[in-house]
Amino acid sequence: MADEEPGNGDLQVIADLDRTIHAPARLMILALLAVVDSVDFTFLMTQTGLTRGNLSSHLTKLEEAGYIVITKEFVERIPRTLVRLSDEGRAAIQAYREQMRQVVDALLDAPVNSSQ
Amino acid sequence: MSEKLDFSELKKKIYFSYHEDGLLDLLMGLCILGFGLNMATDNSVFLVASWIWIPVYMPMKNSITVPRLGYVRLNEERTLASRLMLLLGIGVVAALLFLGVIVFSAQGSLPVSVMDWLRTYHMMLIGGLFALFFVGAWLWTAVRRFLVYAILIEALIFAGIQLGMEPPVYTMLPGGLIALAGLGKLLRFLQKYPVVEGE
Repeated sequence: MADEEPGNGDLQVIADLDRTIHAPARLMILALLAVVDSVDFTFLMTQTGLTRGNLSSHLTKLEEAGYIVITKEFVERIPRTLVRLSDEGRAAIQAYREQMRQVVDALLDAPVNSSQ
Repeated sequence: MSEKLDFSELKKKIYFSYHEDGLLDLLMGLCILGFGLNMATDNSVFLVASWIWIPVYMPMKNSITVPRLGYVRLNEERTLASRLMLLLGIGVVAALLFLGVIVFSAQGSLPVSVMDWLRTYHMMLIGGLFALFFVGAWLWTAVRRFLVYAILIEALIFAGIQLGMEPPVYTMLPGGLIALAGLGKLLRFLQKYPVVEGE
């Protein structure tokens, strides 16, 4: 059929995984943000163990995807960058969880060939 | 994986890490110690100094804890208003009990057995006010060691009375122990979380 997508449809679920979330560093950030209201940049650094540059780059990607909201505030004239999960980000995590559940369930059900 | 992954525990760990700096323990321990020193020396400087922690607690939290651990705002299930009401309730009950004891004992309208008990164990009532503070801290933060401190204060005062110690000694003892525990926690916290450079 001409309108059918190329490749195996069963494997397509894996290809369709949200790559913005799938990266371990970004998944760590989102997992943390999912259980709090908001955190600052330092807190994300201490909890995830990411370097400043690395964290900054991941936050930019997540912000561009609309998954997080970054705001700046001043506390006693010291800048504080606050990060929180957006509604879109929360929905994306739910969708990702469903996709991953399908993949893991399929993996557990599949017979694995032994080398012997 | 070296550890079992448990996201339901993540929030709890984040929350407790915020109270692992030992600041409240140290300052409140010093407050009790100051109260005891005031009793021992009759020097009111210690009494005034012992309350210094109230204005310095938040600035210390902001200058010691936040630069190291970062800042986190949690999704509180219990609202601030309901927790404030709870603490206010504890405060009112404590104040009423304390005032009630003072008024009734001054009038001499308390039963003799109660008056005898008060004569021997009146320091447990004063210690009870400090203990109530820690009960409030435990209810506010759910950190169990605050409840242990509350029990420790009353237990040490009771033991001190039973052993015939002087009141300043058994007042300073729990204060010193709590301050030491707080100092130990603070040192461990400083070691675990070095200052992270500004943004």
